[in-house]
Amino acid sequence: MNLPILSTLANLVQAAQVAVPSDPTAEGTFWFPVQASTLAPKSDWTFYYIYWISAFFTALIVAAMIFMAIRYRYRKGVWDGEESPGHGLALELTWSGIPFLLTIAMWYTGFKSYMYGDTPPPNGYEIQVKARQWNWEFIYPNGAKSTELHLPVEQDVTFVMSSADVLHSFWIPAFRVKKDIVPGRYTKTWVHSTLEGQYTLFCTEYCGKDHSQMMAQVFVEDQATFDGWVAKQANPYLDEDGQPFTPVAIGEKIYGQHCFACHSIDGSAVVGPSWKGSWGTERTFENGDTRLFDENYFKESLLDPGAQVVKGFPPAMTSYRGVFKDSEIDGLIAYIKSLGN
Amino acid sequence: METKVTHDKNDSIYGGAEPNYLNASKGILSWMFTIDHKRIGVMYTFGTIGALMLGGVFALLVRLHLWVPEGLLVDNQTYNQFFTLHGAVMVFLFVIPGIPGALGNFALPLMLGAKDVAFPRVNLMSFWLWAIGAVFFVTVLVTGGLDTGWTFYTPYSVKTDTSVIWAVSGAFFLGFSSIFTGLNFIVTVHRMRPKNMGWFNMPLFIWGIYSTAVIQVLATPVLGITLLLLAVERSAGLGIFNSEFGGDPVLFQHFFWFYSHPAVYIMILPAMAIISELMATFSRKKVFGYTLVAYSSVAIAIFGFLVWGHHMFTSGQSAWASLVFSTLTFSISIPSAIKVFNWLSTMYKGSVRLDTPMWYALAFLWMFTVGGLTGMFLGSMGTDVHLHDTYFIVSHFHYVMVGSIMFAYFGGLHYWWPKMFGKMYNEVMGKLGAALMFIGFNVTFFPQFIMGSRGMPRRYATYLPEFQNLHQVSTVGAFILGTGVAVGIWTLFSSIVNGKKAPQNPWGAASMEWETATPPIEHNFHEIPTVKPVYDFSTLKFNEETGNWDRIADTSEDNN
Ligand code: HEC
Ligand code: HEM
Ligand SMILES: [Cu+2]
Ligand SMILES: [Cu+2]
Repeated sequence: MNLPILSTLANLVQAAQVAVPSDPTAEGTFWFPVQASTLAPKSDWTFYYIYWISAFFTALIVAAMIFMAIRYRYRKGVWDGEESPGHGLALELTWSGIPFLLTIAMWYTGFKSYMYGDTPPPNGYEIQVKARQWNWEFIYPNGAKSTELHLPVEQDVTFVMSSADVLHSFWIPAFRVKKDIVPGRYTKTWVHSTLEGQYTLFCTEYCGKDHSQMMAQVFVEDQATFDGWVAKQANPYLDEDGQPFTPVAIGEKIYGQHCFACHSIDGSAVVGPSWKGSWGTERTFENGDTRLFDENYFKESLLDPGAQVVKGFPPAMTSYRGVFKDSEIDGLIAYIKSLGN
Repeated sequence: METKVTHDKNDSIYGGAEPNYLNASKGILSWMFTIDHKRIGVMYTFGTIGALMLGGVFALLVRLHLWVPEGLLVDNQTYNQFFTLHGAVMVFLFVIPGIPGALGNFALPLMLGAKDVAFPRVNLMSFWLWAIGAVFFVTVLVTGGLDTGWTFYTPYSVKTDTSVIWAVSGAFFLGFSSIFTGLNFIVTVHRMRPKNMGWFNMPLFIWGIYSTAVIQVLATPVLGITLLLLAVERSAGLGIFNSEFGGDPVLFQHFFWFYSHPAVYIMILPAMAIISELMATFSRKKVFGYTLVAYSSVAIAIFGFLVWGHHMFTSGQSAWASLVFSTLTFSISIPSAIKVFNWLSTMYKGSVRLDTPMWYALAFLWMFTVGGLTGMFLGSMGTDVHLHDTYFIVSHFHYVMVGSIMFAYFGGLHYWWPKMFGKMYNEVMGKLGAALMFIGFNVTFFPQFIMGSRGMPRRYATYLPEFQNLHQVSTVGAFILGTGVAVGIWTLFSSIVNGKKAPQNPWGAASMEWETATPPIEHNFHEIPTVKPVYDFSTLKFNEETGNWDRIADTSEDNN
């Protein structure tokens, strides 16, 4: 039987188990995800300080409440309580003074960790963060762009953030950093990560329809792995030894990423015509015109595929205007040529 | 000295044959154009309960949708509308106007021994402005909805194509309604106190409503103008808050919170005011440290204006501004904490009776303790950075706005209901409602603290699977809470039909509204009762036969 209430009970039990993970460093604690930055322990310290004081006072208040509700309850026939003073200066000073002193420490340690998190150290590695509805883009100093955030471990990294449209906010719970991204200005934050692993970056300022899907994966890696990744990201056409790809290899790689679903290289028609043996041949279009498959035809087909639709095929291809650099288009041409005519 | 029963000329403690304010005149027009503060209070009661139910439906839709990580019911866009309408209806139509409009209007003039508020027609106007605001909000529902969140943050609120203009116009009317109510109470308290009732001889309910009124009058205009500017920016492209036209989005946040932080005290001070009455009456003791509690209401009202920046620690405002706001936030937490200790101490050596209103009062103490203490985590700049805009915030403000304020509202309703309608409700059902609400509320919101600090952002239509367990617990709680609210409302309303007749003073309360007939006559009092020392319960004796607390002559003069 699968009653909702049963699965809810099972979930409650599970929630209690999740709440107490076996290894707090790997999975976080009852209250927090792992501490993966130098800020995290500072921020959590204040949290736990306030937490234990709160727990103490809550227990005190509840205990006093229950005790008095029972001890001084109305007893049948005895309407009046006992005589007691209506106020007490000493008592009131005590219970104002003690919370006052305790809050000073909350205020001060909170301020300290805030200033630590709000003051990017000089010479940090700088990553540009571009937020827009509803995705993230990260731009690295060497020009690399990506939708994933990669960071070298044990390095100061500064984020310079801007928004293309509305408010967003940059939050990585494992680092305890958060900063709003405001259209029309740059905001900054920074992090010194301490633990390799994979984390999640959330947008946490409401930004419209897909706000809840505006997340990015965060990878904290050792310096060598990070260096390799960021170099490859800046120029994806390098082989294992750092040697540049040939144009044909560039074209092959792009084909594998963007075109293979619709164009075959074995002569069979998929969604669009096959590329095998097409170079230099005469193409016939839906309106009866013909044209030679050359460099200019290729480029027009790529940028404006609807202008001349090959006979027998649907106008299913979307424009790739602005997607490829010239060197990449050259690579595609070299690759198609290499498939023979 | 002879023993004299001082209730009204009506010979019976059950109201007698004389017409009361409910049946003195008949017909829908006699209600629509009434200038009787009691009838206006009743209309506000019905209206705000209606708003609570409308907002509650959206709340349940939100919780149901979050049953599964990818969302159970609707697409993201529609979910965003659900949480926006839930928040806007609850805040602007229920929590802000609720206690002052319904219970303040009904009880405050009676407590002062006055015949009405200072400006009865303005009072009627206030109610109708509330109703117009409500109509605007309902219009929003059918003209494209609203998906900005109740905070209307720019520039999204300038760009979205939902009905922002309708919504801000509605809020604008509601603002005027709130200002008129506040204005009326300020003047009423200053001008219409009986000659021999000094400031420190007023029940604390009046102190609380008075402090609230000051904030309503001073802060609400700022919201009005801000929303007007937003509407102009949206329709005319004026550059105020939108950076594309040279405006500044953060400026909107400053304006918004300059009103909306004081607004949280517009909400909580009346709730605290009710709790003071309940703790005193049901402990049969004067509120411990009365003077300090009275002053702390005013202190909270004043300091409340100076802390708005604590909503903006991550907004990009300067760190030094944040430091000042954090400092002031902690300062204001002290008077709030003091009140909790004072309420607790009121029970000390009292004679504590656990009738339904007292259940709500004790529940309030737990809720406000949790809600207030979690405010500390947010007032501290460092911890707020992590917790801001997560479910931790959602839970914090629900502990204060629902756990504390809605519970106080229900406590107050159960307390004054017999006076309002002349009927006693079923105690067992009343307590059942309170218990279900208490359990349901905590099951709903406590898990949200944990979710929030573990990494669950707020206003998410979909979420990561790791949060599913906690979300499901929360949803189950919400349905228990909804059941509790329904039971509470049902218990009250059904008593109008089948409740026992209420005596003049069923709780042994010492303030003046209990010295007139139940329900009160149209002009409240035939003659103004003599002012007695505030919270002096010693001359009230329970009459086992009638179930009423009779006033007996004060013999203390003979003694001293
Ligand atoms: C969604 C499927 C789809 C994808 C993906 C796609 N195409 Fe096409 N392509 C078509 C279709 C269908 C045609 C034939 C209709 C037309 O000419 O528009 C076509 C035509 C072409 C032509 C003209 C071919 C000829 O035989 O005359 C070229 C060149 C071309 N595509 C290049 C590319 C390249 C390069 C890519 C990858 C970057 C690509 N296409 C990706 C569907 C696709
Ligand atoms: C008295 C009753 C209170 C009410 C009704 C209340 C209400 C609220 C509301 C509605 C919000 C969030 C608004 C939003 O972002 O949508 C909020 C946030 C906040 N509250 Fe309270 N609150 C109360 C008490 C307190 C206390 C006692 C403190 C601290 C001493 C406090 C500190 C804060 C802070 C700092 C925030 C901002 C958190 C953030 O957004 O990061 N609150 N409160
Ligand atoms: Cu967002
Ligand atoms: Cu605030």
